[in-house]
Amino acid sequence: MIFNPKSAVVFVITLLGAMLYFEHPVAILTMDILLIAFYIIFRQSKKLKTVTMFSLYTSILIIIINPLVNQGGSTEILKLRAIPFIGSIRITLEAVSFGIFMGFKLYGMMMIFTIYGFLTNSDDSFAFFSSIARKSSLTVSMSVNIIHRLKEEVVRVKDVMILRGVNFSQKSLSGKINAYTPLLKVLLISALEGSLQRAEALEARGFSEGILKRTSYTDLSIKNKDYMMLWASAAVFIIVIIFRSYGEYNFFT
Amino acid sequence: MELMYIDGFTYYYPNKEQAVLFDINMSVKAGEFILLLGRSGSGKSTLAKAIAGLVPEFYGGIVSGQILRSEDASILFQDPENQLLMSSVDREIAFSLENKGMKREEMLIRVQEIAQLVGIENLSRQKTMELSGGQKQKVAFAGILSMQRKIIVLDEPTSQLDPVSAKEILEIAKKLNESLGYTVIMIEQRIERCIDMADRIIFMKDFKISFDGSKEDFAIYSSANDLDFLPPVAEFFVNQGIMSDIPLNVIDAKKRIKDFKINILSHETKSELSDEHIIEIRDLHFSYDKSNDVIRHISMDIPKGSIIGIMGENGSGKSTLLNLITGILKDYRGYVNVKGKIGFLSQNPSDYLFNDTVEDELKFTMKTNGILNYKVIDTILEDLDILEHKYSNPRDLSGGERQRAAIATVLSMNSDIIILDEPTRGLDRSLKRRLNEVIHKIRQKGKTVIIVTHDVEFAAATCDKIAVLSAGRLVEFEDTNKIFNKKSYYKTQISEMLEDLWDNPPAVTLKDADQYIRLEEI
Repeated sequence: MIFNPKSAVVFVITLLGAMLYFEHPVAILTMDILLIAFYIIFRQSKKLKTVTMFSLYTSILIIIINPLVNQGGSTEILKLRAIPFIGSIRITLEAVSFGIFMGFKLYGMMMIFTIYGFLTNSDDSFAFFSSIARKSSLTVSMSVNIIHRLKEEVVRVKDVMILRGVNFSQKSLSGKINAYTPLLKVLLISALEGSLQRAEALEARGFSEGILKRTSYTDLSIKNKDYMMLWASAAVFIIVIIFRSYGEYNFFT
Repeated sequence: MELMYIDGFTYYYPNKEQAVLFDINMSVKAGEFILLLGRSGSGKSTLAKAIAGLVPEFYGGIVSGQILRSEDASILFQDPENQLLMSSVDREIAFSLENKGMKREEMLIRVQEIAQLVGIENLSRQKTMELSGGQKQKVAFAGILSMQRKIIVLDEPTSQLDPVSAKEILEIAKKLNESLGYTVIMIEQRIERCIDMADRIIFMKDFKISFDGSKEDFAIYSSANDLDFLPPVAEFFVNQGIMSDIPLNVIDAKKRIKDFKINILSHETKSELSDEHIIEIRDLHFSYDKSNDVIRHISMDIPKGSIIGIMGENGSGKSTLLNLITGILKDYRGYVNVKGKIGFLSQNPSDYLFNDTVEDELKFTMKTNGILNYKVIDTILEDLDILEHKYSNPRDLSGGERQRAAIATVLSMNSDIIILDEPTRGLDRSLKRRLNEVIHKIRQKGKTVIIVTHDVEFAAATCDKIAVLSAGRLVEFEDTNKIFNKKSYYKTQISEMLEDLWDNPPAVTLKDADQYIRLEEI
């Protein structure tokens, strides 16, 4: 089901605000569960899997790094002394818990960002943002195009590099960096060249001269389903107000 | 009626000291079909962009002179990938109408009309990224028609397309010009495809217009100045010393040749291919999805030191076969034995170029292949005639030079087999001739060359044998002359001209025709 970009933007901003506001572990976990349910209802299990995998790596990093740098909390789990250059490290239960729930929070935010992609049509979004952001939408359009092109080019250029003698299956980190650096360089340069051509095509199609008077090919009026989306946003907002005490939870007291 | 007048127009790109357009004077009249010709880097594309209003408006730079317009022009570029802006076909067509502020109800009707005009009404709901190259270019064409301008500039619109798609694009241009009165200005390297459509030819040399007149006059101008810019049948008559009524297409050439007595000089055609095979393929099958084979029952032997062409429509399995030979695809059924190292040049030479200098590109490839003798770099660059660019950034080179720099990186691997995928894309006639020479030089060093191409004239002039694929099967694999002499889909202009006179014409390429045929006035 595709929604009007206006109602989708309101919904996503409201969800994002709620996720940022809530600090209580119960609220964060509840929101994550509701967001997962949202993906399943909209039949986006594949996207959910991708977001989950992507968030997992980042969340694990937060869970590992946070207790190492955050020395707050009184329930000590582990204390390491006399580590060269670093000194002593004190790992507390509070810091570990904080890291874990920040990981869950990040997972929720990733899910919210991705929701916008499947609730709207990219061309409708371009039309909507070009009406408010003017030429900034050109930058967005160019960035989206780069991502699409990169997906195709990675496979092609990697094959070319393999046949040129580059070994991508090296096990050492330095070997991998040496192998992937030329691939990334080719992709970056080609993407920049492609973007210039795209900007030229936009100009050739009258984008910059029509920026103030643009109309839309699709009907961008607010329909019943969009009103439902706005009501859902209002409901989220009301829930945040009702459960506002869940935004004041402190892991370290 | 004059739609545009260019008066003493000179243009410098920003921060450049060399003018890329110099004292251009020309007019564009309503309903004309102008063919804009010239070698690579002669200023054609910049002039096209000036006509379309992108130079200097989009690029900046210094200008003198002026362009007076009573009608604006829209422009279609070479590469469909970079000019499609929206994700669906109907939105793509509507993009320019949205920019004009057209009402939605009117837009719905116009989009439908334009889609019908270009013949893509059945694609209107499709995603642009799911279309084939030819379909994408048609959508881009529809996109520029929605600009609702009566002058259309086409900058090599078929250079990235297979012959069938290219023909469809040219037919759209012809229909717009002849039936709907559009003024068309087209840049095209394969002049034989489109000279019939032109009312007028403009030839550019060294950033200036050096010829502006009818195609008949251009035939004389081209031959007098040794431009090598005529279709092969026209070149054939010019090379025979015939300077009147030069035919510009095959139909006229078939009539004109009957005015002469044809003498065939005796010659021997013998195959000098080695009996040793560098690639052996037996009963090869391959499927991407484990159910539908895209390669079926292919068996072929490639002689060592030969130049082999692989031809076939898009989707016939050419790229898959290449990937099986190179070893990129492995999960096949059958037998593939490659007795040597492979160097591969993909369709896009830019995929190879990321270092600061051409020399560094070669050093990188040699290092990854364990070759430390850098002395051969100069020899390779000299053979390819790009030694002067040894210390240039490869991305700053022209299209033809970039391609030779990419070939140089492949050669520096010291491979036994060189595979070139569509190497003539976007090259003008002289660059193709140079590429032909380069390929023969490579062969002289005992290497085997495999070329995948849609370019019939280039394949006929370059290859010893041609393999034709269709629907994943090898339908023909024979000597080049035999392939183009047959009553088949693939024909050179020379073989088409001679096919009514002989069952087995004495020549299929211009070079052979010049060598073996003499025309005598009756």
